[in-house]
Amino acid sequence: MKNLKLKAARAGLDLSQADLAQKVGVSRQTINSIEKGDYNPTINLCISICKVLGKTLDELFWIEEE
Amino acid sequence: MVFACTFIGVLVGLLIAVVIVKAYNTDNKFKSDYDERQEAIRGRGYKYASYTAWALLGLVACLSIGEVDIHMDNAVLAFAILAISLLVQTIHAVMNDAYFGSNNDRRKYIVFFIVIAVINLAGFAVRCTKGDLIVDGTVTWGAINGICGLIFVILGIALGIKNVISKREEEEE
Repeated sequence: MKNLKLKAARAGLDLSQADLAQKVGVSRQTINSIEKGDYNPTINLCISICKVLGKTLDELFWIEEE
Repeated sequence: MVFACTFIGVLVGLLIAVVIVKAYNTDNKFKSDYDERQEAIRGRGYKYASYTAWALLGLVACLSIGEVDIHMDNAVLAFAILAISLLVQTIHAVMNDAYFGSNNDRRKYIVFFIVIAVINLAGFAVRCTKGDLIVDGTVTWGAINGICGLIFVILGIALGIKNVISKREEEEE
């Protein structure tokens, strides 16, 4: 499942995937894979991303059940 | 004598590889830095590579039991199995962006790969012209240069294809 919340939060801060990747210490393709839903990051990486984007884990990674 | 020369050759090769890896990493570390996704993909690649090696070794064992002659020197056969397994791991890593670590200078590595491919293919060409590549219908150890060169040619093609895919992805972003 695509993570559109992460993509929106990143775009909101005018960061490219490469910028965010550099700030959290991973490759651009890793951020791309998370946004596309191809890779489930560890909790440590989720926290790093949240800190950089100024969001909580719930705001970026919680999936609402339909 | 031949064993000693081969052993020294392998040691010198390893030494050169270690020096080059250190020089080609942007932080002068020996170890490449991979992120968590890359580590997971590389681990999966090693698993596929070992399955490949087991399957090929099993096939060779079956052929041997069935007394089917493979017409290859043992060294060439062993190296070919290693090369195919290595390629499985490498191509899996390349296509999933897990081949280069964040501290690797990609351009320097690619130039190094081209040099290795050219040296090995040149060695292979010399063997071919000398005519001692196949002796009594058996492929001799001189073919190892050809296999080595081929590994780097295939690696280059995979890196080229992945580069095109990555550029398209970046444009779409």
